[in-house]
Amino acid sequence: MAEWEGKSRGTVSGYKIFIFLIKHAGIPVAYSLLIFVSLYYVISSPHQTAAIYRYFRRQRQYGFIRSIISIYRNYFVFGQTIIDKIAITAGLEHKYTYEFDGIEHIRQLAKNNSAGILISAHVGNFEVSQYFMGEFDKQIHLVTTDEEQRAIKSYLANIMAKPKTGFIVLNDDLSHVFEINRVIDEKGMICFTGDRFVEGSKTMTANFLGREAHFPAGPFLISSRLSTPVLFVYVMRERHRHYHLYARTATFAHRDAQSLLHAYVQSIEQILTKYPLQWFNYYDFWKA
Amino acid sequence: MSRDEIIDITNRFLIEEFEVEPDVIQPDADLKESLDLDSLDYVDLVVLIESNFGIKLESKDFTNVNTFDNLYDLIGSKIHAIA
Repeated sequence: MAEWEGKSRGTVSGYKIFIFLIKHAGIPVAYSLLIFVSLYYVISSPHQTAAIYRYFRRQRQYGFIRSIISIYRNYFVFGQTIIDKIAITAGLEHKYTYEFDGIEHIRQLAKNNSAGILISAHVGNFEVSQYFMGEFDKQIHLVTTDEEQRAIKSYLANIMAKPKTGFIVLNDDLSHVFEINRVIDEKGMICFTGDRFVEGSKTMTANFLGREAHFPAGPFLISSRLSTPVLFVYVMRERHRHYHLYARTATFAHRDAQSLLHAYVQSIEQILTKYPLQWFNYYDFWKA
Repeated sequence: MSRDEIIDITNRFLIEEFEVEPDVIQPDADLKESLDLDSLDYVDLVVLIESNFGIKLESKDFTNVNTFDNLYDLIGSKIHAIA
């Protein structure tokens, strides 16, 4: 079974370089550095590169040359999303344009003063979603297992003007359980990424892009059992520093986690059909 | 509420929600292992306990909860604390 190792690539020093460039040379210069950084990652990360190659070749049915070019473009876009995340968090949100699609679903949550569960995926740039939701005065609490990212998030929290996304890290001491319950009690928004799991987690399977894949069971079990609206939310990057938020109400039978997973898989397939380069799971997702 | 009532209510929702056979639930059996709980399953467990017994749990309450007996003790102590 394919599982994520619980660590993402990238270091605090890497972030420091990009923050320096964004502040002193501008966003376009930071992007230009990606020409080399992307190539470096293509060469220096054989396992990740192979996994993305298989995604383009098998799941997207691209030819050999197109798959190779798409790997480089995938790393490049991923780098852009990281630079954008840093720039937006640092107060440069006015350098970007935003488009809302399905924002009425989020407005409805705010109007009803209801808690909400958002399920996203490692596509696009979900972490900038808070900047779409400023008018709702609700902080998004992202449930994560990303151990290595803690150092980076802590560094960003220290230097950034207003970190708006809270993080709930899954811990052995179960503190995350009470954090999740507190947020729901307080009518807040919890966000799960429904596409990654770590060793020891329960999984569910679904046919995804033509082949069976494993997904973490937790987000779907919890979301299907709680009487809380569930939305699928993705923030996708488009050309010219434009971000497009998609929010869709999940339709599923109450307490039926499999039907929720099915709806989720369909929604990611639709998004990836439109944005095939923005799949950012760098491991063999479809491995049996 | 008596301890027997606590055990009866608890076992009933555990069997239903976590889809386990009744004989899996033994007082000294390991809770996590028997119910096959992962880190997010505990969210369900806490919600179920709180809604069934009208109590509020905290992170530190689970420090010494390893077996079903420990869980019944925890629920009992919380109920008596608010009684």
